[in-house]
Amino acid sequence: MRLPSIFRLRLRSLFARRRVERELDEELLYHLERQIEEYVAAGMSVEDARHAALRAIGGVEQRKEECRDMRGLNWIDNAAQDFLYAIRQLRKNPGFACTATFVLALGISATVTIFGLVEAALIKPLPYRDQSRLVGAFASLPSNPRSSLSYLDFTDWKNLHHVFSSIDAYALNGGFTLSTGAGAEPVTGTRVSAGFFHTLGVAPALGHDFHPDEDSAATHTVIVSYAAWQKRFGGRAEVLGQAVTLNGIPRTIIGVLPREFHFAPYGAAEFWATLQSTDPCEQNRGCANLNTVARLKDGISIESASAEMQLIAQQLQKQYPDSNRYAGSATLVPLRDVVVGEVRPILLVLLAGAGVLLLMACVNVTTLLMARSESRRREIAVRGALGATSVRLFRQFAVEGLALAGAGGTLGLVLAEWAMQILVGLIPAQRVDSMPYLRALGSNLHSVAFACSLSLLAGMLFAIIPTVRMSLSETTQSLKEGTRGSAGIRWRRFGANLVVVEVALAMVLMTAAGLLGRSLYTLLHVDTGMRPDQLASVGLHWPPARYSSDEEKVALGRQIVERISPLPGVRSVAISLTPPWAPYGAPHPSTLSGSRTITSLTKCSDDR
Amino acid sequence: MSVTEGNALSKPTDLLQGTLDLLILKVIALEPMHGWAIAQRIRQMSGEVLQVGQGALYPCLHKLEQNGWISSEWAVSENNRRAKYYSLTKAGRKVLDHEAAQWERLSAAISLIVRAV
Repeated sequence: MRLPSIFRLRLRSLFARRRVERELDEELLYHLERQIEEYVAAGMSVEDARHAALRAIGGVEQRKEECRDMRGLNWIDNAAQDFLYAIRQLRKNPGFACTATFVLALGISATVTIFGLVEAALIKPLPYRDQSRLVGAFASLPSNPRSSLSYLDFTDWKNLHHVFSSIDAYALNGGFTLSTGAGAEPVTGTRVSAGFFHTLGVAPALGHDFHPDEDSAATHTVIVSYAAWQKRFGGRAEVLGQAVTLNGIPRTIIGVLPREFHFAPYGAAEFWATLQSTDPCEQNRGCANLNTVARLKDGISIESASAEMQLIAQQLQKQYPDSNRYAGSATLVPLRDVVVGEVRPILLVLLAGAGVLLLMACVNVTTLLMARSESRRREIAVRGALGATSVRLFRQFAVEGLALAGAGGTLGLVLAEWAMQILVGLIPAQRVDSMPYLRALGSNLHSVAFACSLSLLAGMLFAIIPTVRMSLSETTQSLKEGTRGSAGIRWRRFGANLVVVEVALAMVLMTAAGLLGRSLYTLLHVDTGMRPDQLASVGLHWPPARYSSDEEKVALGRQIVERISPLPGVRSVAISLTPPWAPYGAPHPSTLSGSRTITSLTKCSDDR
Repeated sequence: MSVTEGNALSKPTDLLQGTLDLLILKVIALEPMHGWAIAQRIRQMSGEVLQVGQGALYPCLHKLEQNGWISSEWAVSENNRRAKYYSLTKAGRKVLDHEAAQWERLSAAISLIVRAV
C-alpha cells in the first residue's frame, strides 16, 4: 500500500476514533460469541461457556488496549488525554494553578527581559564588518587610561604604526550649527577622518564614502545619517550634491548611511563631516579632542599591537615633553568593549539576579507541587493498582508539569515584552543615544526560544520531583489513607532542605539588592562641592563665523550675562566652557577659542 | 507465545510474532476472512497443533492493517452476523512472498542443525 493510504488509515485511527472503537468492540464481541458457541457445542452450559470464553480471552479491555497500541497512534491519544486530565486537575485547584503560574511567569519574565537586554548589548554583533578586529586606540594617562588624542598625535600615530590596516579618528567636540532659512539650528554630528567608514566596514546606502584624500581636499563634504535623510530631506535621492551650511561652512552631501548604522561611542549624530582640522584645537598638540577606531591587520593580536603603540607613545613623549608629559603610554580596547564596556557588568549582575529569582520561583512551585502530590498519593496509588504503568504515571506528571510551565512561560513572555518596553522607556534619551542597540529591544525569536527552553526545563523539574516522590513511597502503603512510611520522613527532610535553599537564595538577592540600593544612595549624596539646588543650566550655540575672534566671543559672553541677569527670578549668572562635573570630551564640550557651545549657569532666586 | 500447542495463551515473543504475521498473511491470501475464521483456519491447517490466541491475533491484525499489508471491510458472516473481513493488499502480497521465502530458508537451516547428529 502506498504512503497516502497508510496516512489515511492513521488519520482515521486518530480522528474517527469513536467509529474505530465501535468496530473494535464489535470485532472482539463477535469473536467472543463464536468462542461461546464452540464451547456450548462441546457440551458446556451457556453460563459456563461464557465464563470459559472470557477466561480464554483474558480481559477484553486489555486486548482492546493492545489493539490500540498496535494502531500506533495511541501515544497521541494518551498525550491528549493526559493533557485534558492535567487541565482538569489544575482547574480543580485554581488557587494552586494561579499561584504556580503567576510565580513562574514572574521568574521567567524577569529572566527573559534581562536576557533581551544582554542579547541586544552583548550578543548581537555591532553593525560593522568583521567587528572583532576593530579596536579603539587611546592615550593612556595616569588619570585616565582611555584618554583622547590630539590631532597632531593622531597624525603621528597614523604615520608611525605598522599594526593596523587602518586607523581613523572622530572628533569628540562635535555638534554643528546648521544654517537654515529661518536662522540657525543646533544639530548633532561630528567630524571624522576620511577613512572612518571604510575602517568600520560600512558603505553608505546612497551615494559614496569620503575619498581617501578628502581630509586634505579644498572641498567640504558631509555624509548624513538615514534618520536625518528621512527627517530633513524627505528621503529623496536628489539629496546627493545638495549643499548644507554647517558651522558657517558650506558642505556638499555625498552620501546617506544605512538605516541600521549607529556609532555608540559618539552617540547620536545626524551629520558626519570630514575632519580637515578645521578646529583651532587641532593645531595644538596639547588639545586632545579625537578618539580613534582602528582595524587590526590580519594575524596581529591586540597585545602585540598594544606593545607597538606603547613604543610610539613613548617616542612622542620624548619628542614633545611639554604637551605629552603624561601621555607616555597607549591602550587598545576592543571596540565592543568601548561600546558596551560600562554596561556589561551591570547586565551580568542583573542577569544573575534574574536567574536567582527564576530559581526561587521554581523552588516555590516545586514546594507547592510536593504539597499537592502528598494529597494525591492515594489517587496515584489507585491508578497504579489498576494497572497504570510507571511510564504512564510519569507521563501524567510530565504533562501536568509542562502544562504548568507552558502557562507560566506564555504569561512570562507577555510580561517580558511589556517590561522591555518599560525598561527602554526608563533609560534617559541621552543615554539611549550612547546605547543605540537597545532601541531594537523587544521580543524576538531568540527571546521566545529562550522562554521556551526555560519553561521546558522548569516543566521537566516539575515532572521529576513528584515521580521521585512517588517511587520513594510504597504504593500499597499509600493505599491506606494517611499512612506515612520511612519514605515520608525522607521526603519531608527533602522538603525542609528545599526551604533552606529558598531562604538562602532570597538572602543572596536581598543582600545584593540592599547593597545596590546603598550604593545608589551614596552616589546620589556625593559631596560635589557645590549646591546644585536652584541652579539651571542653559546650553548656547552660535554661528562661529560671526564670532571668530576671541574678543568677539568674550563680548558675546558678557552680553549674555548682562541680558540674563535682569530677568525676574534670576539671582546670578555665570558662564563656563563645560558644565561642572562633565568630563572634557563629553558629547557637548566646548572651548571658548573654537566651539559654539557654552553653558551659562543661572542661579534662580529661592522663591522660584 | 502467540502460536502455541494446546490452550496456553500469553504474550507473543518477537520470534513468533513475525511468524504469526506470516501465518495470517498466508491464510487470508486464499480468501478474505474474519478474525475467528483466521484462528480456526490456522488450527485446522496445522493439524490442530497451532492455536492462535485472541490476545495475539487481534493486535497483530490491527498492526498489519496499519502497515497497509491487509485491508478490512465489514460483511455478513456465514452465521448471518456482521463481521470484519480482512483481505490481502498488493503490498501484503509482496511481504508474504518475501516472508515465506525467508521462512523456508530459516526452517531449512534450523532443520539442518537439529537433524545433525
